[in-house]
Amino acid sequence: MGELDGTTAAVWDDASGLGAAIATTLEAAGANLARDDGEDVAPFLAAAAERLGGLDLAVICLGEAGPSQPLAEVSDENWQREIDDQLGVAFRGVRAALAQMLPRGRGRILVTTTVESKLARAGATPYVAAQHGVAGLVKSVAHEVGPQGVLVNALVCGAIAGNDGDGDAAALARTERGAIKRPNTAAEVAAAALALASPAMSSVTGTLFPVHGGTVPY
Amino acid sequence: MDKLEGRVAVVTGSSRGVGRAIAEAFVAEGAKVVLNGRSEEKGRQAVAEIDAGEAVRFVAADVANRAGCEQVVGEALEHWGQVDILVNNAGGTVDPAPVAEMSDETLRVTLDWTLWSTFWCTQLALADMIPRRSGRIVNVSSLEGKCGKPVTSAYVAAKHAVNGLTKSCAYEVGELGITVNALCPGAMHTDIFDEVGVEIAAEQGLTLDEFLAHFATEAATKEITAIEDVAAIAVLLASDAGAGISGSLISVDGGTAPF
Repeated sequence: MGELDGTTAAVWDDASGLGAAIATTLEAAGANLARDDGEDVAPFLAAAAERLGGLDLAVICLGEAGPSQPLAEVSDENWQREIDDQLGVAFRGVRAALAQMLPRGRGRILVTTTVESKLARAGATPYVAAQHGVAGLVKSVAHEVGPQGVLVNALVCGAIAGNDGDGDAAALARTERGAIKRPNTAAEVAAAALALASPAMSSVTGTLFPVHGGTVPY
Repeated sequence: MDKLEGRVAVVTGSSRGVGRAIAEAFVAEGAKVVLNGRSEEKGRQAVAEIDAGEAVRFVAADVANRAGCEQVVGEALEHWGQVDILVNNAGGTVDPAPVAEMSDETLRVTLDWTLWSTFWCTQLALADMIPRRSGRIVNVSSLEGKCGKPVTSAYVAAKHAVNGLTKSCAYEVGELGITVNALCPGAMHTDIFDEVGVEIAAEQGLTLDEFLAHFATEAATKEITAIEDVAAIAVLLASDAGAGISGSLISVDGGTAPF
């Protein structure tokens, strides 16, 4: 018997690599699962809810940061793209999930963020601003929908082992200033997602849940 | 349910309340657990109710002094040869009062019970964990480890100190495969809340129900914290999968703490 037997879950991933690990873990725990195939987050969640017969859990895995650039040189277009890729996606995803969950009076929403939702990173100011925005979105909407049985949390992920790219170089360097001195693993993020996804869990919401090995001091 | 199969856990202050819930969740996941409390009678009752045979032992000891901590951690080492998981749950306060009127005794008792117990048990457990390069320490702190509240300054100071100890200790032992985290629950309706909460409420001119309702109002969920949820997160932190979480102060408070 799995912890998520009878639970319907949809996992959307903007190529972060976390979605696969989370989906595998949720499915192993018995969830009836839908995964995206490159669709936009909102239509995917609506279609998943229809296919699964309702949505108990929505997981939104945000994508990676765009190329590094000092803020002084960031164009309006690049600024807008980064804000939209992070905060815009989180907003549209959470709103689409709420459209399914609020009428049923229950639901769990998880958004994966990075340590940049709480910390600075030079050269990635648009991304950091967008990630901080996601943190604010999660905290505020949790207070809006908590009384209606919907819990919304963010997973604050450290550098993930095996991921490459510009942003991860900075995140990897940051692990040296953390407690465990190594990147996190996708499996560690997935285990935390499973704990927060449990229908039995009722007291964790509006939380920026840490899976970053102590790289964030608050 | 075998996330903690074969692990040896010590949970201080676990005859009742959230410590007991954590101990039960650990047993359900396959751990052997040393329970602790000051009352032999309540301990015997807890062991009987948990009904897990050889998997549970109880030590009557007051962890507000080092000798008591040595007894509790020593019980695990003596009978099971190791301590894999330490949950510093014991703690609390007495005679709550505004700082302007607070006695030295209130602060001293609160710090002994909450901070010193955590320090002593942590040190004793680390003596076993560090050579084995493996371990999990979970400090049951509080919403009051992050936020202030009138009339509970001693408790708030002690829990903030526990959170500081948590963060610093995590850096010291992180490379050794040992994680140290704090859980920060909101108000829970436990036996001790019925006892001490009544006094704190009275100091604020409230009944216990009004006091609990106040906590619920502050939460996004408009509910007080479910004890089982604190236990579920403790299981995550204590498990293999929790290896990547350390030095963190984790809120389990229905969205009450602002950070």
